[in-house]
Amino acid sequence: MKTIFSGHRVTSGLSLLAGLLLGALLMFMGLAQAGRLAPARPEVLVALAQTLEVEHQRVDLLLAQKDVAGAIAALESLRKLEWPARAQAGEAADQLRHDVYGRLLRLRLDHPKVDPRSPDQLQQIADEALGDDYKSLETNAFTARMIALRGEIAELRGDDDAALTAYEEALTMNRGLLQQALAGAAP
Amino acid sequence: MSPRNAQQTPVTSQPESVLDPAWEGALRAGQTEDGEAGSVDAELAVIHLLRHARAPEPLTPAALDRLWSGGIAPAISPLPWWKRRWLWGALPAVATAALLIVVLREGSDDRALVAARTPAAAPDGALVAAATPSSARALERQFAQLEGDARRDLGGRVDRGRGVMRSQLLAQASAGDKP
Repeated sequence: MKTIFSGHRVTSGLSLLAGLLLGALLMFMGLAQAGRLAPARPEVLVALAQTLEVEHQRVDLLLAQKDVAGAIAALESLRKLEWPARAQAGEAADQLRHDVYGRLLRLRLDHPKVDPRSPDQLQQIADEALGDDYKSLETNAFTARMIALRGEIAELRGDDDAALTAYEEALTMNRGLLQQALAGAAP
Repeated sequence: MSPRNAQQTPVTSQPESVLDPAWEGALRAGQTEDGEAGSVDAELAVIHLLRHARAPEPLTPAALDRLWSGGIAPAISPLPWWKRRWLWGALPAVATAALLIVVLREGSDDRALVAARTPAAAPDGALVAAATPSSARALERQFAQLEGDARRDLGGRVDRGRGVMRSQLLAQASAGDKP
């Protein structure tokens, strides 16, 4: 009888341990998927963020001097950066990339006569920025803006269906972000 | 008096003088015999002129009124402005121009308003954003609203990365200090 009870205790302990391990594994996978874990190489993210901060300030200065061509050239030079992978620098790096490309495309759309690009070339820049896996990113304002810009470019190309789809996608993301902001601002 | 009438009209009793009122009757009779073809008004006008030159012929008030209202008044009275012919061409043109001015000015005011409300979208005051579709403008405004929080969030993540780096460096340094 004692053996039966001790065997039952061992089985329960093993089940509990297996449950804990499974839960921890699922949580780890979930956090990794959501990009909430610290990047594997935080120094890459920090270096990237510092570089971009300086470049953004340079672009601000150029725009203040009405040098749109210079600002566009500065942002174009950032396109040539070797952008770190999400596995290395976390998804914050992807958001930083979307921010840079979004600013570049906004300037290009607002100033079509400065170093002109065709709608197809703009579309290529947008695709390059978003990549194939942007949907797995946590909802954020920079990616939403990139998607909206992609819609604007699709409209320039005369592809109204693609533009509408992109606008709807961006609106959905923004709606979620606004709700989050309101929930965060609520007492 | 036309030669044709003089030849073709067989007047049995010709009036003796041009001042004789029988001339008018003779001319009318000749016209009737011609089957009302042609006109004797010019001849009659000459006869009346000659008679009037000799002794002024008084006009009855009814005849005066008829003359005035039938020919003179319409010829010399100025037309009211709303009856002038050029007005019918000019009025639609002016109305169209005014409508265009109103519409174009409203459009430019709207663009200026949009540009003023979206400083992030048009930092240099360019009105190009207004030329883009309304959905794009709305999304750009939303981004302007969300941008601050998004940048703070990104900054926080980078700071956390800095914290991790610092702790890693400290850990390496303390491991290096160990004998």
